[in-house]
Amino acid sequence: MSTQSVILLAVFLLVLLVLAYPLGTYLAKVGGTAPIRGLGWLARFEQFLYRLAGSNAQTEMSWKAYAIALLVFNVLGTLFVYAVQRLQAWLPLNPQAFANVSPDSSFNTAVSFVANTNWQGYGGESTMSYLTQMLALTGQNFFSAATGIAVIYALIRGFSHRSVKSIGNFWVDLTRSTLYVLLPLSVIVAVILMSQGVLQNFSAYKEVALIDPITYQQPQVNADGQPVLDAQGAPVLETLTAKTQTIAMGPVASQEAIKMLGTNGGGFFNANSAHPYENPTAFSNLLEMLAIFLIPAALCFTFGRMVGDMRQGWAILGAMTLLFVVLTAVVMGAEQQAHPGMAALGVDQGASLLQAGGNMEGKETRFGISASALFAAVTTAASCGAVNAMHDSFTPLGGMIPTVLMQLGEVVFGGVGTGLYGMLIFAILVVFIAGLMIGRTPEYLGKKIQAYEMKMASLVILVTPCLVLLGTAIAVAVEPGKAGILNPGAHGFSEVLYAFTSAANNNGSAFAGLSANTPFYNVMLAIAMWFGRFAVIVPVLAIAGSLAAKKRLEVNAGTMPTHGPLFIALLVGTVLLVGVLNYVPALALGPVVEHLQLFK
Amino acid sequence: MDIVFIAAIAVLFGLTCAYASGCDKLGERLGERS
Repeated sequence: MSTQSVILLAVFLLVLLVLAYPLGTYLAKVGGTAPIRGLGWLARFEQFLYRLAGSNAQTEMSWKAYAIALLVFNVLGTLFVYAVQRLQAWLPLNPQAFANVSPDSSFNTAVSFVANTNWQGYGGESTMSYLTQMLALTGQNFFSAATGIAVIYALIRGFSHRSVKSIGNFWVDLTRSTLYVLLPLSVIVAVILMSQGVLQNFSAYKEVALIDPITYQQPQVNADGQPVLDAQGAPVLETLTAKTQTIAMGPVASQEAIKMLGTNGGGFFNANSAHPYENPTAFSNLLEMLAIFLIPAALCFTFGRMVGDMRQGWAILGAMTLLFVVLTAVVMGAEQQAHPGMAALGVDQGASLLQAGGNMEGKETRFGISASALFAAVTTAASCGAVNAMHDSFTPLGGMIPTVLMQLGEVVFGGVGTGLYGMLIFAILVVFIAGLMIGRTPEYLGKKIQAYEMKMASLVILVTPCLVLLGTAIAVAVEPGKAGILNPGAHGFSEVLYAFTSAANNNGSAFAGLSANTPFYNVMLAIAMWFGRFAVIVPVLAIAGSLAAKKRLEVNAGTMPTHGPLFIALLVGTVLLVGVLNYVPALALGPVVEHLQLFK
Repeated sequence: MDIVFIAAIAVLFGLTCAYASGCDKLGERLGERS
């Protein structure tokens, strides 16, 4: 790890802590039902929204009612996003006159954005109208993030409520999360991004003259789009000169802010945060990384405040930070390393005033290795999936760590809401294992952990590995799956494994060498995304309902403390063992083999 | 083709509701046993 990497990581974590603590306190107030001091005008608008929707904000929901409301809301969102894409050619705000999106791509994208994954099989600037980007995709960026916050509020209430059947009201949690948290933060971040040069307009794309025309050759194609071959069977090349370039425009900043804050990750442009109109400067890059972790980190403090013991929140945050720092250091180190093949040729790959050194393939020179490696770790630790560098071009080890961060279940900070509830499920597993070891009935925060909670926790932990490993196995076994692999061998396998890992864990980033915009991958990945999201949320809500109905036991001499270093060590160990062990054979076939091949 | 994908969304929703119902029934069964 270079000195620059160490300083960047330290500054990032310090600023994050300073911002997350007060936000965590504020989020705890949003998780209540009382008006927030100084925001009375917003409370009146909130009440107006409930009246408009015909919703009674005072109604408390059982976990089943909460889950059904959540599922209905999200399935309606899926249908809406699907419809907008399929109708965009006839809708306004389409200056480039884009055609309707294909049915299978629309299906994949609709599920993707509703599931907070934002896996993108399409290129935004060549496929989606401004209306689709703003109304369908950005809208779902808000609602999928608010859904995640609602679920974590419900689970925290499970711990803090005593002997009641209810875990809150989904519509209230959804509304308050959007109105009081996501919208104001997005406005602030969008304005700062615009100050850095991120676009926000409705202009048609600009055709600009190149300062230096570029001459290039490409294979000539016939009317069927097939290459024309000469007598020897070689493709006939034609020479072309480009004198102009099309510059894509659009309402980028408004989407960019919630893309990060909501850990959504779907870029306005195909190159995502590597594009200079999405992420122009080193400062915007730092801001985007902070925005990704801001709410997940703040929710740890919210958790501590809502259960009445801040030490519990610090313990969870400590476990997340420990995992994050160690794994980020590996990515930074791996990307700064010299490539053995290049070193054998005598190429200087050291960092100096003249060059970044290490592996700069697929990275932006304005960010360099440290900021690219940190962004990769942040975006995969959280379930964001935005990228400022091409993960497919990382070294085998540098690319494996982002994969592992996702395979841990997106619990290292994780997605908005999803990261904390994932980590709390692991905490339940830890107290269960500890209870078995010392022969006591396990309890967490005064709630007994019994058979039902453990069965539901097991479901939460096992759903995603099943989706990832089954999906990968099917894809590498059938022709439509193999057809998308451009890089044969271990790296091709890594690309498929990464795709299903990303989809099932609702991350959305990709090893972009995989041609995934095909009916096979669009459908398979959509299934992985849907169940990776909702087959996890349902048992989490079931645990919340079960815990809320229990009385809270008083702490006594035999109670296992869940806020000290021993608990943090147990939690980190369990996350690593349970999270990674599922995937060791698959990782051995992909990135591990690739890494060893560097030295052959 | 649209009808196929709209039906697919409905199937995903239905399967998830059935899954939630299964989680609920499991809770009731374990509740009775204890």
